[in-house]
Amino acid sequence: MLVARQVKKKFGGLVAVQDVDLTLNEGEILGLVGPNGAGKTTLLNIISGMYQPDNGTIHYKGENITGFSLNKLCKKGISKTFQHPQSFPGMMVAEAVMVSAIFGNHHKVGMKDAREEAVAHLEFVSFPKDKIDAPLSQLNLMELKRVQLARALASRPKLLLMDELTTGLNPNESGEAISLIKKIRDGGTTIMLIEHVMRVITGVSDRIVVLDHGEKIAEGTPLDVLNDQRVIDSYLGEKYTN
Amino acid sequence: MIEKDRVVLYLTIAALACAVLFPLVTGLNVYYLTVLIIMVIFIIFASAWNFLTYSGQGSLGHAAFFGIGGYISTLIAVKSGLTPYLTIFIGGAVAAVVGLFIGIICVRMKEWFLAMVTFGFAVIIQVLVASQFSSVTGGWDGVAAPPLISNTVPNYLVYEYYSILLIAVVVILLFRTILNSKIGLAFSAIRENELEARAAGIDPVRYKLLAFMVSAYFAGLAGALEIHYLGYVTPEIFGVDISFWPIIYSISGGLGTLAGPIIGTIVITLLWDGLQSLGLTYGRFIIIGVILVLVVIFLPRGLISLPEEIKKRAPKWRGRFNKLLQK
Repeated sequence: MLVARQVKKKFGGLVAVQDVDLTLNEGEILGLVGPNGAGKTTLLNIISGMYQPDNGTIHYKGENITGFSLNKLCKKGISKTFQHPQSFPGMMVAEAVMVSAIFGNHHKVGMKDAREEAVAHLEFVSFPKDKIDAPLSQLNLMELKRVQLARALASRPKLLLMDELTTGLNPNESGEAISLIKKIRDGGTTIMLIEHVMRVITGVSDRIVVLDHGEKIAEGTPLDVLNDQRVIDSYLGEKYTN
Repeated sequence: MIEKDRVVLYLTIAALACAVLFPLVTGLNVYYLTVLIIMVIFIIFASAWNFLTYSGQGSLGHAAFFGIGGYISTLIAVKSGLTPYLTIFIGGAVAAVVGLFIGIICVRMKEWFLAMVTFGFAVIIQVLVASQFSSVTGGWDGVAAPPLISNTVPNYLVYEYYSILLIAVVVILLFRTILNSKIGLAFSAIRENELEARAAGIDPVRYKLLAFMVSAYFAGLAGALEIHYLGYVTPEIFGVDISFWPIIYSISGGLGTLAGPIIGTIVITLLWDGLQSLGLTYGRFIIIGVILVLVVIFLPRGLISLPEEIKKRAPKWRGRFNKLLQK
C-alpha cells in the first residue's frame, strides 16, 4: 500500500532520518519504535506530507506522492494525528470534527450531515456525549486525544498515522486503546503508529520497525523484534531479555 | 441558545426599523442624513475589514482597496457616462483583483508581517495615484465624481441613504451566509490552527485568498459609495486614517462578530460627530482615544459584550454596594 525508499531528512547538520526503506501492507498495523530522537516522528511527518524529504521517494497505492502537501494527502486518504493535540482551541468539539468530515475527502456532505457524521465518530472513540458542544479549550488531554482521533477518522482515511496517541494513558485506558485501534483496522483502515509503551505496541502491531539514530535497525513480528540483540542493546535494555 | 437567537433577531429588526424610520421622523433633516450616509458606508467598510480577520489575516492598509474602488468607479463613470449604481460594482471588482494580487504576495506571511505589507501597499498606491498616474487621476487635485443621484432631484439625499442602506443590509446578509457555510468553517479552522486545518484536508492558501478578495471587493464597493456621495476623490483617500477607522470600529464593537463592526461604527461615529457639534473639534481625539483604551482593557471582546459583562459582574457590584450601605 505504501512503499518508502531511501528516505532521508536533515535538519541543519543533524540527520534525523537516514536512508530508511519501509513497506506497509494493506490492512496491517505497523508499529514504529525507537529511543527518543530516533527519527520516528520525522519519518511519520514525511509520510503524512508535513515535511518534504531531502532524498528518497514515497509511493502510495502505486502513485509517487513524494512532496505532496498534508492537505492533498488527506484528500487521498492519508490521515494523521498529532503528538501534541491542540486542535482548534476556539471551536466547539463537534465543529472540529465536522471540518475534516467536510474537507477531508472527496465525499460531498452538507453541514447538517457533517454534524451527524462528527457525532458518530466522536461516539466511536468514546468521547463523552455531554461535551460534544463544549469549546475545545475546556477539554483535558485525554479528551483532546479522542477528538484528534475522531477528526482523523472523519476524513475516512485508508491509511491512518498515529503519533503517540496512547502516551500518558493508564493500563486500563491503554487496554481500551488497543481494542479501539484494532476496531479501526477491522473497519478497513491500515494503521502505522508510534508508541512508547511496549505493552501497547506489541499487543497491537502485526509488524514492528525499530529506528535508532535515524536508521532502521530491525523489522519483523513483535516477537522477533523483542529478541533482536541490536534492539535490546539500543532501546529495550538488558532487563527486557529476562 | 434559541432564546438568544430570538433576542438577536428582534434587536436586528428593531435596529433596521430605526435606520429606516429615523430620516422620516426627523423630517428629512439634511445634517442627520449626511451623518447616517457616512455611517452606513463605514459599516460596510468595517464589516469588510472584519471579514478578513475571520480567516486569521489582518490588514493595516485597507484604504488601498477603499481608494481603488473609489477611483475606478469614478473614472469609469466619468469616461463612460454609466450610472454610479453600476460602476461601484466594477470598482469593487478591480479592488478584489488587486486584493488577490496582494493576497498571493503575502498569503504565507503571518500577522504583523502581513499587516506591514498591506500598510506599505497603501502608501505605494497613494504615491502612484498622485504622481505616476496623475494624467488620469488629476494628481493631488483629484477628480470630480458624479453623484449617485443628481442633486436636482428633490430629496436626493434620502434616496441615496436608502439605496446605501439596502446595499449594506445585503452585504451583511451575504457575509452571514458565507460565514455560516462550509467556507466559514474553513476560515475558523485556519484561524485557530493552520497545521491542523491542513491535516483535515483544507488548503489554507485557497481560503485565505478568497477571504482577501471578498474583503477587498466590499472595501472597494464602500470606497466607491463614499466617493460618489462626496462628489470628488483625491489621493487622501489612501491615508492612514482611512485604513485605521475600520480597525477601530471593529475592535471597539467586537472583533470577529457580525454585529461588532456595525455597533462599533455607530457608537464611535455618533460620539465623533456629537462631540464636534459640542465644539470639541480637537478634544474629541482625546476622548475617543481614552474610550478606545477603556474598551480594550475592560471589554476585550468589544462593546457587544457589554450586556454579558454587566450580567457577570452585577452580583459583585451589588455586594460591594450593600457593604457600603451597611457601613
